[in-house]
Amino acid sequence: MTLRIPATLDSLAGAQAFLRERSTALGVPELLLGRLELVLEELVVNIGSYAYPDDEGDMEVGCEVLREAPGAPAMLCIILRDWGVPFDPLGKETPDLDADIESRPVGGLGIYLIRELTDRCEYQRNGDANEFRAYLRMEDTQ
Amino acid sequence: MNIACTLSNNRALVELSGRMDAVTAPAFEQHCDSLITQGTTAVIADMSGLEYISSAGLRSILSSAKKLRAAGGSLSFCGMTGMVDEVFRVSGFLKMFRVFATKDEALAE
Repeated sequence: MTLRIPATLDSLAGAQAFLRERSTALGVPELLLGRLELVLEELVVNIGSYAYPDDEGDMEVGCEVLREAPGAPAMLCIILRDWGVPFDPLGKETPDLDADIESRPVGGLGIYLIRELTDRCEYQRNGDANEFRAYLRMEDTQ
Repeated sequence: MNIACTLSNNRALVELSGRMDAVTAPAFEQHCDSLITQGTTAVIADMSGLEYISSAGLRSILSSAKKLRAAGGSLSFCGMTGMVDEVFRVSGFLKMFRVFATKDEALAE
């Protein structure tokens, strides 16, 4: 089950509610919901800016629980797809985390937060679509 | 996101609750702007009622902190929990700002 929305901030609240409902039905612990919603928000913002730099475009949101091997930990996978220009979010640079308030640039933390708050991320260009997957371990309670 | 502000001794205690996302985060910076205009530049943000923050929240916070410093003041935090604490930690904001465990500790400064 997926949800297709315009990649705009107007869609954010509805898409986060969909994701929350869907992942709760899949048994995702409450603790992971905030991280999951953050992944979605940062991608909505980035896809809106970089995959669709000129016009509005759609994106698709889905999530599923999977095991990579028998006995391996259950992983929650959030899948985000869009049909804009090729855009690899993982190509962004790591911000300077040691700068002080005055010298630290404002912004540029969205993709970094996704990488830090998930166990693994993948990007691939598939035909005319960008596909981004983020994985979170289900029993993760760190 | 809800913003409740109390002024005392030329210092503002700003209690944030709800969600600080790309839609709501600019309200925090606007609130700090109006405090600066009124001459209050020492701000403590109580995050204990905040359940969610994204990079847009961090943007609003850092931008506000720069303006408060430029005006001779400061921005500090208290009451961080859950994913808000996590986001502050991984982004380096925990070490960049003064962060107190509780509102009482922050106000005792």
